[in-house]
Amino acid sequence: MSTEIATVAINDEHDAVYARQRARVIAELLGFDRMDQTRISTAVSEIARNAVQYGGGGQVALLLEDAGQSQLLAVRVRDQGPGIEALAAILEGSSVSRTGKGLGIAGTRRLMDHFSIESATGAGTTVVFAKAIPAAAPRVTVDMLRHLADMLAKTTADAPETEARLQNQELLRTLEELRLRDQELVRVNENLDTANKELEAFAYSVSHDLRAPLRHVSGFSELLVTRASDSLDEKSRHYLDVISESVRQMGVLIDDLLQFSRSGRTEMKITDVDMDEAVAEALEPLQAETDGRAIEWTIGALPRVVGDPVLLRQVWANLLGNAVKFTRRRAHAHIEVGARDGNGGHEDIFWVRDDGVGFDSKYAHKLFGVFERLHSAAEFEGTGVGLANVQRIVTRLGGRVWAEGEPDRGATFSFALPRPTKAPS
Amino acid sequence: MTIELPGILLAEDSPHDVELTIEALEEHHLANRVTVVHDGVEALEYLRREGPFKDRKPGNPAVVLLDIKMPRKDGLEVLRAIRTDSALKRQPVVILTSSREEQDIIMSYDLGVNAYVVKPVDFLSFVDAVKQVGIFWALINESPPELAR
Repeated sequence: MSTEIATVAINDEHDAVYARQRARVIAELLGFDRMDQTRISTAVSEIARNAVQYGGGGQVALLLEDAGQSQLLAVRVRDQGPGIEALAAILEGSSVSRTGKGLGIAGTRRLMDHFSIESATGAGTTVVFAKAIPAAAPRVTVDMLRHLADMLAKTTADAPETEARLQNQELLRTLEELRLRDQELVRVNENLDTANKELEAFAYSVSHDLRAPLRHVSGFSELLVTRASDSLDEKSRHYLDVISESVRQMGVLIDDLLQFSRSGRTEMKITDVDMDEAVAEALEPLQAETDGRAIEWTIGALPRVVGDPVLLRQVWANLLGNAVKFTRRRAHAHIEVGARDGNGGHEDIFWVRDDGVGFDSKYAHKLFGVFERLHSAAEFEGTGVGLANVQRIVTRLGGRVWAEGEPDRGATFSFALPRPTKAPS
Repeated sequence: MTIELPGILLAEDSPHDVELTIEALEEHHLANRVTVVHDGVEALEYLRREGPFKDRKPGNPAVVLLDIKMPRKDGLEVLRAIRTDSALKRQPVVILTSSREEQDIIMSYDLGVNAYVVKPVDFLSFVDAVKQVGIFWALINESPPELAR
């Protein structure tokens, strides 16, 4: 059900100002808070001014919409102008109004709970928008509306100067509000930072303190083997083997976790990095694993970047190590490393492509999570920390990572690093 | 008068680690030359022949093996105290710890440690590391003259 509260004919800018005043008074009487009063009056003024400018004038109607549970203040602005041609672009906000002033339709839409627009070439434009009356405000009754109409009739239009002064006050209030929110954001950010640091310290000391008991389990089971080996039966020796193997695994896990925690905490030393060199250095320790295997390497020339050389070497070591590991079943494996321009020359994209076991793309989002693994430990060893590390490092350097793959066809891991806006001198 | 060979002072609060370290040194008959203290305060008391150690024979160990995380006074504080004590400043000190933290390593070297050894989790590597440290410092290294007083 819809009840008209007031209508304002708008033929010029003064009328638009008047419509704005009425909207604010009504919003106030209906129980909207100051911020919402400003939002509503700004929206009315914006759309009314459009109707004057582009539609040659029209009418603003302020309505109470009763939707059972909730009530809304609705505004209908109608003009008889030529209609809007690029409506879709305007709604998206990608089209800027000719005057370039104000919020435009897209901005107004953001201020409201509901927004609709009808426009036909040559048949004028009708804009309807509404905001829900706060649940805490008393429900608007017919009596209240009558009272409201009386009050509106008694209040005369303020002079434009008064309206300008009011708008100024609104602006100052909004600025103050923004300043407070800004302060709050800074505070929230600081808290997050502290929480994050605490979490890192916690992760570090947990993985650190886990090493001691692990060393003891390893040590004493080993001592047991040397001391009692002769008197132990095969089954008992097997138990001890399992203990040793599990200890070894947990040791690797803890070391990886420590490295992961460290790559998030260590201060970065940002400098010019030779990526060809970084790849060569990362390949060196892989030698033991690649010896005796037929791997065809195609390594393109890589651009220099700005980053932390130690962390970037770690990125390459993880990606190349994975490529070597997951092509293990190929009699002749191919691994490619390359780089290309990205984002219109604003970033460098690096990639490592292999023809190994690949992965199902529906799990792509899980690849970079800590301890996430797509293969069993029996198939391929690993802890699931490597790619999490890659993501963390690349993100810290302002870049992003992604992966494409297909089961049994191979995988491509890419990372993009932003190019510095100015070349370092 | 018999000449006492300088031994090894092990400052370590974990009894399990003490046991494993002594096991590792046993093979080269270094174990019977190990003196164990359980925190940093005791370590300094031993070196300065104070408190419970005031009646011990003179002469300081060939090497002090220091854990970092210890009650009362940690390994880095002990190291600092040794290097700023004119009677102890040349004492060979090896940090033997679980920590691979960069700041611990940097701090140790800044304070003038002689070596920094991370305890490997794997026992065989641990034995190997401790043995090598023991052999080198107790048998191969030439101690500063004042130790064999």
